[in-house]
Amino acid sequence: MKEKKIMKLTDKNGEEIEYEIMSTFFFAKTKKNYVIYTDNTKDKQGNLNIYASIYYPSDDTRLDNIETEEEWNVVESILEKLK
Amino acid sequence: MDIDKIMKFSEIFIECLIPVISLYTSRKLSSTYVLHKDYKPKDISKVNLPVELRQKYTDVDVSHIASSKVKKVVLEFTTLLIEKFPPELLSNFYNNINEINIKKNHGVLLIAADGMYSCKKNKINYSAINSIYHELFHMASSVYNERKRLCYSGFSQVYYSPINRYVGNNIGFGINEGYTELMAYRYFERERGIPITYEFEVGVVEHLEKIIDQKEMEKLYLTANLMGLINNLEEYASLDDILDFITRVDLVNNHYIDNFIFPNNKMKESIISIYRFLLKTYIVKLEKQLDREIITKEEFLDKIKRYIKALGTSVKIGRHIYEYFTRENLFAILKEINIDNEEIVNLCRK
Repeated sequence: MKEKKIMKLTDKNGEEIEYEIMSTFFFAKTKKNYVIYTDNTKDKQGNLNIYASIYYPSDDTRLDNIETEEEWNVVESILEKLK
Repeated sequence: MDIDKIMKFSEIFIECLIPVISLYTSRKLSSTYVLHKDYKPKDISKVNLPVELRQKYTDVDVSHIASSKVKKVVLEFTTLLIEKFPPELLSNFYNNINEINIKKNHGVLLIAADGMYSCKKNKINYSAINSIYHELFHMASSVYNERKRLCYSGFSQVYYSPINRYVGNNIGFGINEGYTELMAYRYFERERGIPITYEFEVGVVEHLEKIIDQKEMEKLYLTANLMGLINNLEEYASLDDILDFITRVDLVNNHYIDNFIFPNNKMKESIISIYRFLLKTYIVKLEKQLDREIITKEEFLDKIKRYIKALGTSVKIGRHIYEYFTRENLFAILKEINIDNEEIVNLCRK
């Protein structure tokens, strides 16, 4: 049994939401770390809802949006490899 | 060249130009998915990631190491590690290598060691250059959590008290020393004729690799995942038995030095218990394989016989020989798990 890795996000009201981490990687071009995660919910068509963000190993208060299409392409290529 | 081959070639080319270093990958995706590019968690005040993922990738740079002899060993170690293991297993290594502090210090001989790695300071003290491979494996498998004052190192977790390093819930250091030495011996020391250390612990983890395979063990070790090892073993043994096994290997490791002089009943009891756990757990694993028809009954019995033979019956620690499998207790273990085969019984009689 593979151990699941969990990312816990706490909002400003102190509420905690858990996401299962699917992958983390470092992209040399942007020199940033990325996390791909899911809340294990599905949309109406039965597709697993997946999200991705930029995280900072030494700053546990930030989770940023991915801005460029090039970065999203890398996220998608990683997801393809998980299939 | 057809279009598919061109596409494949250009993908490889782009990957070479802009490396993507995979740090962690979970289970395979079993269903279709939708990627929400517009989603952003609201008003986040804290992002809590597993400790092993809170690390940064950097290029390897060992120019700060002054000694050319040590630098050669470190580069040799780095080259092999990058060649043998995928990058997602090397985040501890990448995180530590560029700031590793390696010093010759004969003071380590006072604690009967040729080398020592401090996880908190990311520092190696050594008296013999041959010991550096072992210490570098500690470095490549360690991460220190400042907030918890906890060092995750291979299969061990060591609490650094502000007053005394050894106060606290330390666990897994016996298995960790064994596995560290097994890695050093397997990849460097054997071909260089460097003698093995931590013989008892190495023996234990070698037998453990028959239960959890080498590839998985190496992965768990390099990512400092003691919990992963426990989870893997839970498929074949109870959590209580696993924790008892791990802490008994710690006990033997702890009493190595004083036991050179005096035999120790607690030590004997622990050694018997350690080997009993290995045998029982291995047999449970084989029984599961038999149930799933992965192996035949003949293979099942043959593997048990081989394992019992490999386990041996006694171990020498210091000046004392500890017998862990007498004919009687081996029969008792086999009986307990309903193994009643004449050939195996005969083997036990030898």
